[in-house]
Amino acid sequence: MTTPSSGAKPTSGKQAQTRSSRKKASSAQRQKAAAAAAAAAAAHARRRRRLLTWGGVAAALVVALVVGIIVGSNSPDSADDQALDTSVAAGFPDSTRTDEAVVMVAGDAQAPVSVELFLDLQCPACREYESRIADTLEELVIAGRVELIVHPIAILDGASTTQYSSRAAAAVACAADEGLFWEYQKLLYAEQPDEGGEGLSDERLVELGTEVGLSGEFETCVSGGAQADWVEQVTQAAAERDIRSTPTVLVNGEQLSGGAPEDLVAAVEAAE
Amino acid sequence: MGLARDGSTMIPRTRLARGLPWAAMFARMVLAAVFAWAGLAKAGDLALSRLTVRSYQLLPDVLADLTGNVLPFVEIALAVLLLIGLGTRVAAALSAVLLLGFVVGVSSLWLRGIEAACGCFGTSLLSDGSPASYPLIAARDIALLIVAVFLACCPCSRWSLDSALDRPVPEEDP
Repeated sequence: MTTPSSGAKPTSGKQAQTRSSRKKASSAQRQKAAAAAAAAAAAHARRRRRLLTWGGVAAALVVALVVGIIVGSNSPDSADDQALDTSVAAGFPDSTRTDEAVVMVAGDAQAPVSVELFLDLQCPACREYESRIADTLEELVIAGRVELIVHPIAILDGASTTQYSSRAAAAVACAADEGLFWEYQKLLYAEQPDEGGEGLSDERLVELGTEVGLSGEFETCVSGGAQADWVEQVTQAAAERDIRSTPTVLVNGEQLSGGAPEDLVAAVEAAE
Repeated sequence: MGLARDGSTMIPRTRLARGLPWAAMFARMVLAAVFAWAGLAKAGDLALSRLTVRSYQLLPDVLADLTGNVLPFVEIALAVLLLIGLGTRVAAALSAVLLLGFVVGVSSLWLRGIEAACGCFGTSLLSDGSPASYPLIAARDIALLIVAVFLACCPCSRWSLDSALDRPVPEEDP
């Protein structure tokens, strides 16, 4: 850093007598100027530091914001307004009901690998999971590679004012008896009510059944609440196996941790 | 404390003062690691991230979706700032705000009895069968919050870009 010019220099003999005092003055001036320069440099450094600091922080946050919005808007999910695909692949087997679950298996043969799903009809993550793996799962079942076992448990009755979780599980049990569990469950996920609301009414559950061809006995079954005990039993049995949260997936009894279709396929291949 | 108000280091006089910059550096690394892990895991599945924020039932859907999209990248940005030690005081303060938000969110799930996945390190859509333990999560977030508050009060760490910027600028020839 240069110091600014520090005043006139003594040039003539006439001024010789004042030279020493001038020199003193000039040295003091020079010191002052140097101090001022140092202060200016320090201020400059502070400004630079502040600019880099705040600039860096602001830039990082703005980039995060923009990336989040752009990437986020390009990753659709089941919560989007467009309706979920509720069609089921041709050749998908009818469902049957056991004491603890609904079973779907191709033909009469026992498939080598069992895939167990613990789902709650009120659970948004279950809806998302179902929408992601349905196609893959249907293929695996139709190919006879997998026996699909669904446990429609009811653990989210608190999330609606009408115990929708239990009522919906009872309704899919009714559908299971008619062989149309998977079709009806897909429809219920597509129509899943928001948490904290009233849920779908029994009338609406019956109405949705007619869309997949359920009527008559199904209607009586749903409106009479015939399967309430069964739902309790299924939920209890799951709890006894330490499963109290959904969606939980077991492949041949082994807990699956990855939520992508590829994870399911890999687990099935490993179990075969 | 041997620290100037603006967070720049002065000559450390006591053993405590000498240790503080190292403690601050450790705090930076811990927070950076946690945020990087949490952010990257969430960023890999933004649909799940949105779903998780929605499941907290604290924000209207539009804001919940925005939060779900942006939060992972904000976490990554904070991790980067903390890792290189740029704007440490601001980054630490923002981390503290974020962590306070997490504590409030998890506590509210607990108080309202809502069954939701914490989604903290949201790697998978699938549950492991047991419900999230809210007190445990809240305790962990409070511990991290204390670390962040400490760092915001004492952003004087070693090996940081901040301390490099603090060094006097070398004299330049005109």
